[in-house]
This record gives sequence, structure tokens and C-alpha cells, in this order.
Amino acid sequence: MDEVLTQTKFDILRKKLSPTAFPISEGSMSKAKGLLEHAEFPTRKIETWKYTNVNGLNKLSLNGESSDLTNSKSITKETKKVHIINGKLSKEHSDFSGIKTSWNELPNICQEDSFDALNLLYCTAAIELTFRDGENQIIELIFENTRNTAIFPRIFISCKESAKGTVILNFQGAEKNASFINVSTFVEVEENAHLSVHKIQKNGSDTFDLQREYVNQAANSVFAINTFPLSGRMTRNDLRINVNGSNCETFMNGAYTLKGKSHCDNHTTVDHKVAHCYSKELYKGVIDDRATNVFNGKVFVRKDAQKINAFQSNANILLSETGSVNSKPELEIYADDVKCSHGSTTGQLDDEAIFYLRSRGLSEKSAKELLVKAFLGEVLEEVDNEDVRSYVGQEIEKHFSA
Amino acid sequence: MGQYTENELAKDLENQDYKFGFTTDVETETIPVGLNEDIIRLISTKKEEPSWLLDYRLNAYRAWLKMTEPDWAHVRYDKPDFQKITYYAAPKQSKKYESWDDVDPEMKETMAKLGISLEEQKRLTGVAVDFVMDSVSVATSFKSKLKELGIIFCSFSEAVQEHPELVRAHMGTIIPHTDNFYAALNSAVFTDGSFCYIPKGVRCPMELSTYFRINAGGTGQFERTLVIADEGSYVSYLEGCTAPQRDENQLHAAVVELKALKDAEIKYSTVQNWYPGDKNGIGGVFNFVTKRGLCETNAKISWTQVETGSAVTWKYPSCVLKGDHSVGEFYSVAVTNNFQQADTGTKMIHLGKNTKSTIISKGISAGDSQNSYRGLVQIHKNAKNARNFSQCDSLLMTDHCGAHTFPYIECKNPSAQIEHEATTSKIGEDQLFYCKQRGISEEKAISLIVNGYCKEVLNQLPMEFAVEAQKLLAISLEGSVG
Amino acid sequence: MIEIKNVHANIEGKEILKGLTLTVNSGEVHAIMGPNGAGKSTLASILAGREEYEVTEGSITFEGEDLLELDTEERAHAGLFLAFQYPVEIPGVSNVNFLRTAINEIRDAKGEAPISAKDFMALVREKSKIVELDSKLASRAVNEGFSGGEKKRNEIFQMAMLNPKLAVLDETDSGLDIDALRIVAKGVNSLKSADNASIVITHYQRLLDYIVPDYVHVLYDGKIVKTGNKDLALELEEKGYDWIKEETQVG
Repeated sequence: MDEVLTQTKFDILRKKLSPTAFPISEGSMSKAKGLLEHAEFPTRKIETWKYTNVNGLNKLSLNGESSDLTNSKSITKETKKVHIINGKLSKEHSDFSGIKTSWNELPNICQEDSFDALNLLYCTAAIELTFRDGENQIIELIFENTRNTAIFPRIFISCKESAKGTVILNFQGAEKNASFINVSTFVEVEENAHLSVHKIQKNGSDTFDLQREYVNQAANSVFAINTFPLSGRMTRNDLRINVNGSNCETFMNGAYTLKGKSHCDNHTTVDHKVAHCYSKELYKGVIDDRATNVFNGKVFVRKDAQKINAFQSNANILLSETGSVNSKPELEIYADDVKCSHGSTTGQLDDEAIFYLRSRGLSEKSAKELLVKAFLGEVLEEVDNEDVRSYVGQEIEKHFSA
Repeated sequence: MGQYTENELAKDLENQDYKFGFTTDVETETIPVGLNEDIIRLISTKKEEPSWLLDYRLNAYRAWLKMTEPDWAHVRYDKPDFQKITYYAAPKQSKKYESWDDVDPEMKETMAKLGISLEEQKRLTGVAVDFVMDSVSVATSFKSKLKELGIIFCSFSEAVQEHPELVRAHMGTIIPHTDNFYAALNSAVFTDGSFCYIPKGVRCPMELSTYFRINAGGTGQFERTLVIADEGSYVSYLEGCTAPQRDENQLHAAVVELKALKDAEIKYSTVQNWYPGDKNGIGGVFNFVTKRGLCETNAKISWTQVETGSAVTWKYPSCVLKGDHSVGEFYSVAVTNNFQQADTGTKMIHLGKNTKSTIISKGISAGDSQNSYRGLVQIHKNAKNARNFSQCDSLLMTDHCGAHTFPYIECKNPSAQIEHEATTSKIGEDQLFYCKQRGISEEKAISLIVNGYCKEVLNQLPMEFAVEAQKLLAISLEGSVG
Repeated sequence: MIEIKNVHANIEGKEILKGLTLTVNSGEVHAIMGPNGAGKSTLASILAGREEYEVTEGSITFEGEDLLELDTEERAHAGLFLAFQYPVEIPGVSNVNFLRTAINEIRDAKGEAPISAKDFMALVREKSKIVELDSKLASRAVNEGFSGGEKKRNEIFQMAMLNPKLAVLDETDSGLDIDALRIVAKGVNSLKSADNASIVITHYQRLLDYIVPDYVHVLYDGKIVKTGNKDLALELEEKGYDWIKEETQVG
């Protein structure tokens, strides 16, 4: 019975979507369709969706109204910018030099994920960014979502040997926007390359945003990703990093500010397959109103991956009686000469500190704000791009003054 | 925000998804292999049970039929064939013992081999032992002394006959028969176990102890334990387990329910060394146990476990902190070697205000084993000022074993403070070298270091148990450095 | 007692000792001094048998036996003791338990019966006085939460308990204030006898004010380049190591 019921959920969703205009190989097409036919629609029974319910996807009307985006769109200065408006590439507002946007055929599907299959079959934009040695480029992708629609970009990022690159994925939605954003991002960090990805998810209050990043790191590379889910009805990020070469460094940071009924879920996996690597993860957030946060961080250390140092931390401040926090930091370790640790804390602001600040003349509200900003500040310090750091800092400020 | 009610609790529960390798030649009486309603009726008849209990069993069986075996645990094994298990094996004894002297000498010898000779224990430690061999309790000592205080400590079957009102009122209230696959199975076919009731305000003057042991081949062990500590009482309960060596995998699916009423305290300690299988991972016990305690206002339940045995362990002694100011503790050492797999931890369900829980888990993995900590800390809406501290450490002895940590932290109250810390590291080369320089052999050094590493947990055990546990740790890790 | 002949030793392929020769007889105290990186701690490590170090050439004979053939614990059984530069913490294992295990293992290796609890405790009381060790430290976990000075005193306490033939003190004085130094030195001196010997590795001359050596050796670039008596240490203190370096290079 269940099967019939869940099957139809994907079917209902698919009926609302228009098949992609991008060319897909037959093999990929049938694999993707197969995945969708056999996959169960996520329910709480599936361990990775235990705390996140996406049934609301089916209530979205995906050819809905438009409204204007009021806030500033681009957040960086003097960088190469690509605009994707309501899911589609916008030629007039973009600098496409050196960026691949037209395809004879999209790369074959290689993941076993039903939402990735959905992304492929209904892809609305496909972009490949390549960073080469000596260029040190910063590219900002700006996703402006003003219409209630399906936004299914497929992004390929390739950071070539010894290259250094920065990508900013900037999602900006109109205030009440009710879109279904479904993004697959594939990242290859070649030997000795350095890549930073900054992801800002400032979505409309009714938007569902499901994103996956699949990252491969080759030897001696450094990969950093900073994730900032700032608003939206539901935000789910699945970050999967395979560390395939030795002497790599991997940094994962996230800061989230949740209020209203928003639901945020960050699933991260760092898979240490070889020896002598370092990874560090820090996710921090503040949860208010009826919001829910989910964190699931997994550190894998494979059998022969000795001398791995992996650190993982998740800290939450729960401000309201009605909010909830679910944290699941996991270590799965099959090698012995490793140093791994994780920590998770959930609590509230320190009453003593608030009292102290008030005794120095701050109002209770500004005392709390100050402490929250200091709490999230630790994550911002990890961000090496000045524009991103100041933008997120301002957004946090706005969040609390609203 | 009022007090959490029984109904709410019920609803919440619903929503939650060797060394001793010898066989004793005591004649055993068994019933046909397999499981169906007739077998359950037969068990119930043999045990001369009241009809409500038969109904309970049948309800559980019917619920079980609709359930599927869980597979979320980090363990791999061939699922048992439930139709190939004998669900009842009682040592064939026509009469009940009048005194300890009447007990079959061979059985006494078995106990002596287990290192828990009742006589010795009686003399030296004053421990009252309820010895369970293959499903039926054969000897209970110190009963009269306990009786004076109004303490009931007897086999589960005896409690069914003599205190049916107590059993009926409490059994299945903490672990409903629909709780999970193995709890349902246990509820349908359990043969015996222990029952303990401590009256209001009584402090039990001795450690109560039960030894479980699987003896007959192909028999599942389905124990059922119920401990009720009435208001303001205290009891320390010890459970030790051994199983002789057998090739096929034996199933052990116990249910342990604890109820600590207002201001009561229960300390429940387990040393488990069921047969872990041989060096190649052949044989060994499947240990799929459901243990849960309920704390009323200001009550405290403390679980301490030292787990060195079993081929596959799946066990999460839990505390439902229902009453305000109640306290739950979980102290665990889990050792896995060779091809053992353990997925163990706890659940701390904070329902009441100012509830506190502490989790200290020490995992040690050696050989090709897999050792996982899985723990849930759940703070409900009304659990104002709840506190939890968790520390989960893993020690790796070889480069082909695995150590995993899966904590689940769920918080729905802003005044809660939850802290979870975990570390995974290799046994310290520096420490080993230091010990060796002082003339201590590697094996001894490892045993010293491991015992030191587990000290916080071992300290929670009663003295005589702690010594035994230390020996067990040393035996389990023999030749384990890789 | 110990004869070290032309020893060469590597760590991770890097040669540290380059032909070290040293003989120590019963009743003698030898001081080994030298600049950082000369190989002082490497010497201590190969004597105790640390596995990361590889002896590629030369021989070490201890009480007539080939020391290099023995495992670390066998060397300890034979009467070799190393006071560690950085004593290791072993959480949860009490000092007393640790030492009792060590003593019994050593006795067992010699075919002797284990020490009785009574004798052992008497020994603990007697020996802890030597280093003015608070009896509480004896029951605490090995080195856990000890101050630097306490750790070093604990090393000497262990030495007193195990009563070795040859004690190697690896920079036992580093990080000690003058009071702690005095106590440590007093302990070492009181353990001195005609039947045992010690090798005191140090960077500073001041320790030798308290533990008077019979010989002072200067270790430089993996070899002993100069040997003298106590006065050599004073000279080193005064002039530093540079003149040794120059002399070696000239030579």
C-alpha cells in the first residue's frame, strides 16, 4: 500500500515539471527514470530523512505568480557574474566568457539519488565553471527567483591542477517566493588545487530548496565550503566530499538563522579514503519561533586511511519554546591511527552574560543580539572572502533587528 | 505545562519507532521446535499461567507477526530462522528445591565453573543470587531474609503465581509488547526471568544478583525481568551472563523493565560475556535486548554495563525521565574482538522538568570487530531545564577494526543544556612504551591501560563485579594488538 | 656494566648517532651534555629500545648481554631504567597499581614470587619519602594531572621502587625549579651504590652541582667529542658549546 502511495508522490511532482531542454544520453535518461520509479519518496522511516518531511513539495504550484526582488542581488564586487533568473540563464546580465553553457550532451548521471535524477530530467540550467592555474578567478552565480517555479540548475565546477578558485552560489528569492529549488553541484578539485565555495540561501519564505554537492578531492588539494541557509520554508543540503588523495585539507562551515516555521537540514559526509588528511567542520545556528534545525555530519575514515585528523562540531542555540533541534554528529572509523573527535551542544544564551551586558547599559534585546552575533561570528571568521563575510554579517544583523 | 501523564507517555512510546565453554549434562525438557500460537499456549500451560498472561503473549505474537526485523543497526548477520528455535527448555526437575542443599550437584558444579558458586557468594559477599539456567530459575537464596523487609525477589514465573497483581499492573507498561520486533517476540515466548519488588522506603541491604546462561543447544533465551522500586526505596541489581561454547548462533532476546517510583533509586549493573563466536567469527550469541527504565519524580535509574561477549549485540538500556527532577545515568564499556559486532548505547528521554542525564560510553575495538555507540538524547517540550552530558570515547586496537559513533540529539525545549563529546583514538604507543620500559609486558600493559581507560565505568560497579569485569576485559583482549 | 661501541642510529632514515662509544662501570655516574640536536635523547631512546630508532651499526653490551637483542621490557627486567624526559600520562591507572604490576613482572622474569601487598606498601612508604612525594600522588593515576615537577619526582620514585642497575636520566632536570631539582638530585644520590650506575643526560650544568658525576662527556653531532670530569661541565657552562663545535671542526 505504502509503495503505491509514495510512488504517486514523485509522479504528482513530475507532472508539474517540464522535461529539460538539455540533451541527455539515453543511458542517463533511463537510469534517472529508473531511479525515480524505484525510489521511495522520502519519509521519516528513511534514516537520512528522519527529521525532514518534504511532503509540502507537492503542494507547491510551480507556474505561479511573480513578485519583485527588493534586496540587492549580487553580493560581490568586481567579479565575474552569471545570472540565472527563475532557473534560466540570463544572457543579458551575464559574462559567459570561459564558462560552458551550451552542451551537446550533459555528463552522465553517476549518483543514486532520486532528487539528482529529478534534477537531470527537469534541468533548467547547466553550467560548467573551470578554474585554471594562474587565473585565481572569483565567479559569482546569482540565482534570482521572483516567480513561483521549478529551479533545477546542474552545476559543474572543475578546479584544475594547482589552480585557485572561488565560487559564490548566491540564491536570492523574493520575499514570499514559493519555488522548488533543486540543485546538483559536481565539484572536482584536482591535485594541489585550492577551491572555496560560498553558498548563500536567501530564499523566499515558502521556497523548498534541496541541494546536493558532490565533491572529489585529489592529492594535496584544499577545499572549503561555507553554507549559509538564511531563509526559506525548507532548506536541505547534502554535502558529500570524497577525499581521494593524500595530504588534503577539507573545511566545512555553516551558519544558520532560523525563524518562523522554517526547517533547515544540513547533511554532510566527508569520506577519508586515504591517509594523511585533515578535515574540520563547524556548523552553528540559532533557532527561534517554530523553526526546526537538523544537522547530520558524518566522518568516514576508511580502512587504510591512517593518520587522519578529523574534527566536527555542531552548536545550536534554541531561543523559543516551540523550536526544535536535532543533531546527529557521526563518526564511522575503520582505521586505527587516527585522531577524530566531534562535539555537539545545544543550549541557550548564557543568562549571566546577558545580565552582565545589561548591567553595562545594554537592553535585553541588544544584549542577546550581541551574544548571538558573537556565537555565529566564529563561523564567519572562517570565511576568507570579504564580500561574503560582510554580506552574511549584515543579513544576520537584519535577521535579529527585524 | 502540567505533569506528563500516563496517556501521553503511552502515546510517546508508541510513536517511537570463552572461557565458559562447557555444557552441563542436566536432563533438559524441551518442547517442539518452532513458533506458532500452539507453542505459545503450550509454554503458557507448562508454566501454569493465568489466562490474562496467555492473552498478553498471544497479542504480542500477533503484533510480532506484522513486524519486520529492524536493520538500521550497524551490524551484519544472518537473520535467525525463528522456526528453528526451541522456545522452551527447562532443566527436568520434578520437585522444587526446599533448600540449596537439594540442588543437583552437577548444576552446582556448573555454577562453580562460572566462578559464582552460590556457597562462596553467600559466605563472602552476601549476594542473593537468582540463578537462571535455560529459562527456568532453579535456586533462589536469601529469600527469607529479604522477606522480612517485604522485598520480593524471585523468578518471574513464581511472581506470576504468587504476585499476579503486581506483575499484571507493571509488566509491559514501560516496554509495550509492540515496542519493537524482539521485544514483541520476547513478550510472546518469554520463559522465565527475575522479578523484584522493593517496598516503600526500604533500602535493599544486599546486591541482588541474577546469572543468566544459555545451556541447551538451539534454545533461545527469552528472559524477562521486572524491577519495581516503590517510593523512596533503593536497590542495586546485578545481572551476569555467560553462555557455553556452541557453533550455531544462539538468540538471546531479553526484556528488562525497571520502574523507579517517587524518590526511588535503581542501580542496574550488567556484565555480559555470552559466547562471542570463535576467532573466525563462527557461532556466538545474538544479543538483542530491550532494556528500559521509568523514573517518577525525583527518582534515579543508573545503568552500568560491561559488554565483552556475544557475536552480535543490539542493546540500548534507556531511561524515561518522566518525573520532575529525575536522573538517568548510563555507564558502558563495550569490548569487541575478532568478528564481534556491537551496536549499543542508550536513550535518555527527558519528559519532566529539571531532569538530568549522564552518558559515559567507552568502546574498545580489536581484531576485525565493529563497535558502535548509538545513543539518543531527547528533550521534550515540557522538560524545562533538562541537562545532559554525554562522553563517548572509542579506543582502537588494530588497523582493521571499526569504531563508530551515532549520537542522536533532539531538543524541543530552549532551556535545555546538552553537551556531547566524542573522541576516537588509537591505543597510545607512548603509554605502551612507558609501561614496557618499566618491565611490564605488552599484554599486561594493554590490560592496565584499558582498565584505566574504562575506570569511570568500572567504578560504578559493585566491588566484586568490578574485579570480575576487569578480568573479563583482559581475557577479551588477549592477543588483540595489531 | 654497559659498553656502547661505535653505535650508529637512525630515525626515519636520518642518522642521529654517528659512532658513539661509552663504557660505564658499576658505582659510576656519567653525565652526558651537549647542544640541542646532538643526539642526547636518541641515546636514551635506543638504550630503552624505542622502536622508531634503528641501530645500524655498533653494539651495546649490558651486564654481558647483547642489549639490542632484548625487547624493551626485557631490558627493564635486566635492570635498565629510563627516567623519561616527558613522562607519559596513563589515565585511570593508579601509580600504585602500575608499580606493583611492574615489580611483579620483573620478579616473575627472575623467577621470584610476587611481592606481598604488605611488603609492597611498606616499600611505597619508604621510597616515597626519598623524593618527598605526597603519599596521595602514589594513589593517583600515573602522571595524570601532575605538575611538571611532580612528574619528574614520580620518575625518581619509580626508579627507587624498581631499584635498577643502570638508570638513564633523560633531561630529568629540565623544567624544574631549584627546590624540585634539589629533591630530585637528593633522590638520585641516595639511590647511588657500588652496584649500580647512572647516565645523566642534561643540557644544564646546574644539575651536576647536585649530582656529582665521575665523568662528563660532551655529545656533539652524534659522537662523544670530549670527556672530562666535573670541571668540564663548568667550562661548558661558562663558554657554551661553540668552542667545542669549533674544536671538533678543526679536529
